[in-house]
Order: sequence, then C-alpha cells, then structure tokens
Amino acid sequence: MIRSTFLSICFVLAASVPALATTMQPLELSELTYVADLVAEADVVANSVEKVEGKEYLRTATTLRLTHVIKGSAADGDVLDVLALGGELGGEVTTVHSTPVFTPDERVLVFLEQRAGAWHVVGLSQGKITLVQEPGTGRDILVKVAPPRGLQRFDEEAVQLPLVPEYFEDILSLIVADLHADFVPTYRIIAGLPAHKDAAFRAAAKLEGKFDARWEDQ
Amino acid sequence: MRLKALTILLPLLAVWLCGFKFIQPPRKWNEADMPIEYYVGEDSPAGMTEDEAREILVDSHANWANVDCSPLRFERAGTIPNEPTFGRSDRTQVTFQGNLESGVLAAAVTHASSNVLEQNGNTFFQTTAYNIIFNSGPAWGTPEYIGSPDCFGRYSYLSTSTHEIGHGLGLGHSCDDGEPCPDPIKRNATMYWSGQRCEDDRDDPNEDDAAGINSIYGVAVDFDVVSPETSGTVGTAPMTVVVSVPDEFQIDRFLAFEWNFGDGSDLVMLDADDPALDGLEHTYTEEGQYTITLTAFGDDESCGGEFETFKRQVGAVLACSPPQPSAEFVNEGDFTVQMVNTSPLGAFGCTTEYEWILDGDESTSLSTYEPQYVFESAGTHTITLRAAGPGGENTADFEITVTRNSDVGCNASVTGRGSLGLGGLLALLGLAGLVRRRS
Ligand SMILES: [Zn+2]
Repeated sequence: MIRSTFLSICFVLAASVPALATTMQPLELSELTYVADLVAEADVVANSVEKVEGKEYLRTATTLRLTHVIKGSAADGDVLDVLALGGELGGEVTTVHSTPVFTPDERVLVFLEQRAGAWHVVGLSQGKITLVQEPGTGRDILVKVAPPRGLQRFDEEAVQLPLVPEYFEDILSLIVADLHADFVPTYRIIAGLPAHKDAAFRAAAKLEGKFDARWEDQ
Repeated sequence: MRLKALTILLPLLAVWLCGFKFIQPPRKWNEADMPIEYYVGEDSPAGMTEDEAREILVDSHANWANVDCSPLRFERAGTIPNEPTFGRSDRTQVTFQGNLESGVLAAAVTHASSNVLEQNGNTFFQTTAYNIIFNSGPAWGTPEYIGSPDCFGRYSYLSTSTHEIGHGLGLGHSCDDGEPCPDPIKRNATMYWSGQRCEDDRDDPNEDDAAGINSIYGVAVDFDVVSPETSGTVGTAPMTVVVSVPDEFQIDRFLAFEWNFGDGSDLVMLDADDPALDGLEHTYTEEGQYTITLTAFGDDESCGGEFETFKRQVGAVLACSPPQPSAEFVNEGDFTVQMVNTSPLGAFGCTTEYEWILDGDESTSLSTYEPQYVFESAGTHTITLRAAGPGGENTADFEITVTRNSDVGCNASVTGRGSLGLGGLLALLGLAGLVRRRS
C-alpha cells in the first residue's frame, strides 16, 4: 500500500517527535502587505537547525538573500535570518504543519515580521510563496509547495506548474499599488499582531472610515 | 484590489508529501493511558470567562470521545499558572495569550516518545502530551454567541479547541493552505486548516473528522479501486473500475457494506459474505471526478452496539473526455501577437497540457499557457493549439494575421477567434514576414 511506504519513510527519519499544528486566520494579500515589516523577493541561502535551549523541540533559521525589497528598510542584497519552529537534526524531528519550509536555491516572495528582534514569516505558510520560472517565457509563476525538510537543493524543474499560472508580476503590481497608495485594509483583529501594530492599524483604519465601532468591544 | 485572496494551486508533489490526514510522523495515544488528563491555564481567552472556557474545553474533548467506536476519554486534572509554552512533554495543557506569529489563531504541539503502536495497519509513535496555545489578539465566542445574529468579529472557541485537540490526538488538516479542496466534506471538517469569524459549522467533528479519528483509534475500513484498462483510476469516459474490500477489512465485526460511487447511481449494499466484496465493477459514463464512499455496518460491544464507519476516497476516479482547445489572439502592434487561451478548463482537471505550434513546425512548440509571438514583419500564420489530458487530445488551428498596428487605437484590426478543427480565423491588416519567438 503506497501510504504505508510513505509512512515507513517518515519513521526512518524520526527519533524524537514533537509536532506542531495550527488553526490559521486566512489573511488577504492586502493584509499580508500591511502587516509585514518587510516584503521581498529573496533567494534561500541555507538552513541551520538548532535545539531551542531548555525546550524540547527544534527550530530552523533560514538565511535569505534579498534580491528585491518591495517593502521595508532593508536593501537589495541584504542577508537576514528567518526563524520558524520545526526542523530535523541528528535523527530528531520537530514537524510543524502550516509552517514555511525553505530549501536552499529556492526563490521566494516573503512577507516578514519582526518579533522579539527576530524575523518571522507572517501567517506562517501564508507569507511564503515560491517563485518558479515558466519555461518558454521566463516569467515567474507563484506556487505553494511543501518540500520535505532536509532537501539539499530546490529544483524548479521538479515543480509541477499549475495549468493556469498566477504570475508574480501581477501580484507584485497589486502590492506596489497598495504601498504607493498607503492602502489601509478594513480593520479586523489579526491574531498575534503585536499591540503597537494593532493600535496603529486601528488608528489608520479609523482615519479612513474603515473601522467598525463594534471592534472596540472585542 | 481588495478581496483578491491569494489562492494559488498546490502543485502535485505527491512524492514530497509524507502521508496525509495524520500529523507527521503519525502519533497516537495508547489506550492504556485513558483518560487523558489535561490542565488549563488560569486565564481565559479574550471574550470569555474562565468558567465558559473550561466548560467548552470539556465539550471539545467530548467531541472526540463521542465519535462512534472512539476509545478516547479525557479528564480535566486541574488549573496551572498560565504560561504559554510548547515545551511540556510531560503534561497535556491548554494556555492562553500566546505570542505566536500574526495570523495564527491557535497551535498545538504534540509530544511523542519513540515507543511505537500499531492500529488499523498503520504505525504510530506513542503520544505523551499535547500543549495547546491560543494566540493573543482575537476574541472568542461561546456556541450561543457565535450562532447568534449579533455575532461580530469573534471566533468559535468550541471549533478551534476541538481542532487543536484533534491535532493533539494525531489528526492533521483535512486540507491545507494552498491545497485545492473541492470536497465540501473536507472543507467543512473541523480539521480544515483555517477558521472564520462567527462561523460555527465546524464546532462538531464531521464525518471526515470521525473517519480520521477512527483510523487512528477506532474501527476503520478501507478499499481498493482500479480501472482494469489503465491499471489506475484515471482514464477516458466511459470508464469501468473495479472496487474491492481487502481481506484485512472483511472482519467479523462488519455485517454489511454499502458502496456509493458518487455519480448518482444507486447505492450497492453487500452482505459481509458476498463474493462481490472481492471485486465489483462500476462504469462511469460521463466526464467527472468521482468520490467513492464505502460504509461498513457492524455490531461491536466496544462501539456500544451497532455502529457504522466509512472510508471516503475523494476524487478517486477521474473519467475524462478529450479537451476542447480554443483561443483568441490580440495584435499588440509591432508584429507582436498575444495568444489568449479560451479553452474551457472544466471542473475536473481533464486538461493537463497545452502546446502551441507555429505554422505546423513542431520544433516551435511552446507549452506556455498564453504565449506571445513577436514576428519580424506582418503576415498570416497558422497557430495550432493542442490540448491533452487523460481523455485524449485535440487540436485546433487558427489563422492569425500579424499587423504593425495594434488592435486598439484608430487602426485597430479585430481579435481573432478560432474553433475546434476550424482554421477560420479572420483578421485584417496583414503583411507577411518571418518569425522569431519571444523568450
Ligand atoms: Zn490545525
């Protein structure tokens, strides 16, 4: 049975096995853009996995080289680390469903936020989109992929492209239009949004008439 | 813009996915560890009192204990200081006001030891604890509040806590972010990847959730399906498949089985001793992607007497007709022609490939969805669009007329249109020329 084969592959990998899974709040593109401190195209350089001190699970720091900063104070060419729970190290595995998994040589569009001095992906998997060049046109197509942890190198040719592609340039133009217009989404509470950002979001939405007074009672 | 959700297809990287439905790697509680004792942080999620939250936690645990044949039992062991952490492998706990990433409502870490358990033919690590954290930010509502017309902005605490406990018991998501999820049963499952405000549809585990928990803890059933013609489950309509129940599921506790082939045909009920359980033919006459459901009816003391369990293979069979390619084009000026793919995609993914061929020269073949051709001069050319899929392939020819002027503006030509098997495209303002491909 095929499924059993996959499961047995999983078992070879695992010795200690914490796993994390979430319930997500789906975020609109305009919310991802608004909430993020940094929006950029980036190349994935490397992953390093560490055991969180005093904790029983692993986390991965992914080094990204920014190739095109769309929002934020970083510059093209900057290198930064993004933290996410989960990883694989010496036979130990922490699996995290819905978390972004990066693979070296992967090209990505990322929406990042700063939390306690470290970069994280907004909305976990929601804020990471993979770019794959379309054969024949050279245009970048957006895809969501679920590569296995520990993959040494991302191979764009191995990705099965959607029949009807969604092009990066189209999403980029929406993001850029938002930024040029200082667009403020209609307010709603975004889970986990740091308090100072939530306060700024409320104030901006009130100014633009995009705040329902009932949020005051939440 | 707005409200353009970022919906992107998940490419079919089957070999990258390590199983499905279960948390990976799979883990389950040992039945000898029942009841599962859990602790609750001395705090409450925003919008609810501590008592309301604790009561709903009892209900959300009971949601899983109450599934037919579920051996799961739970007991609230007490309260603890509210210190959100995923690091308690020694204690199952629920805490509030976490500091998780933006956009995360709640999360559960499930700790497991390296002990291995077997159930229903699958292997699981033995779960030792789960740690659930509700994120800071959102306000939560009781079922009464969420179901009321006055509900505003809050999330169902029952639904989200049931979901997170489901993770703690070993379930993954019915569908994940970015993954196509055409089956309403999976979309409405408690274990769907996300939740919406004022939505109580997922408060109670649905049949997909129940089947999932039964496959880990209870009585599960499964089946095989194959098309004798293709040795797979994808092919050309009309398409005949053979379904069968493997021997390991033809067991004493099942008294009868019922097939639902998902195409509106009559249900087929078979007794447990019917030889057709080893192979039953069914023919799908029309194009479609069909979900097959096998329900097993049984009688078992551990399930409280009569029970039923089922296995649903979503989209198990894809029967396709040949694709119907069609296209339009736009003269963009300067001898540039943009192809517009107007082929009906259909609802079933029966087109898997497009190919554009210029003037019958296969070496010019492009597999782009909508290529652009840049010619060196005006002229008339034949474009062939070939569409292929499991149901076969079809081609359509279009005659395009390349112009210096674009279709828009005062010297506009018309937009060409072709149809299947018809080379009848009409365009104006043509001058002949050579071709080069834009890359
Ligand atoms: Zn989840």
